[in-house]
Amino acid sequence: MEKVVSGTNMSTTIEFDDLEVDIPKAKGPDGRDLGGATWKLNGKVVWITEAHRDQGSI
Amino acid sequence: MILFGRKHLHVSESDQIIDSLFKIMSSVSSGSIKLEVANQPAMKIEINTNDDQVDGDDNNRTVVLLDLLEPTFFSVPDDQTGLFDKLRTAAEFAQKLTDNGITFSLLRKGKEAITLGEEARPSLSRIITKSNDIQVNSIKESAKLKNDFDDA
Repeated sequence: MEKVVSGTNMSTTIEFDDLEVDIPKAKGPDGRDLGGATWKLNGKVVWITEAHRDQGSI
Repeated sequence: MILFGRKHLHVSESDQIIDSLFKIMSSVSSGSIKLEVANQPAMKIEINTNDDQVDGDDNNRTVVLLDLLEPTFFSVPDDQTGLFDKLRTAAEFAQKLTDNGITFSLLRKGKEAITLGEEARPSLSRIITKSNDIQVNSIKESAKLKNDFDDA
């Protein structure tokens, strides 16, 4: 797993497919009721690590 | 998780990390998450929740399928804990899963290996694990998983 974080020239994708998350009711800072909700997540998060030559190096 | 003088990682009653993990698992009612590394599928998580009415109370039962499509990617070659230490930690974790109505099924490349928690129905594996919350679905796949995790 450490390759995902520290590896170079790595591509990592997390894909969410119809992920339903129940957000519970909560109290706001002024005591107001904040209604609950259901979030539906669809999509991808992609991160790519690339190695670049340091300009100061020979 | 805290190391309590025993060799295995002890899941304490008020473990904030474990509690947070259970809250996240309980708040997701359905869907899937896929992980790809270098365009290769590495892991897939599928979550389903069933609402059961028991004596007028809502009982949410969450089933989490964790499929390690490329298990060697998750290897821990420096792991010092032995099989029985892992089983003791797994038993404590599985007990907490059952308490929270969660079933956690571990698959290797699409084949069931181990089921922990609410819907685990152990038979002979109870002799080894000493837990009612761990079911070894396949000794073959479980052994393969252990080898995958041990490989560097």
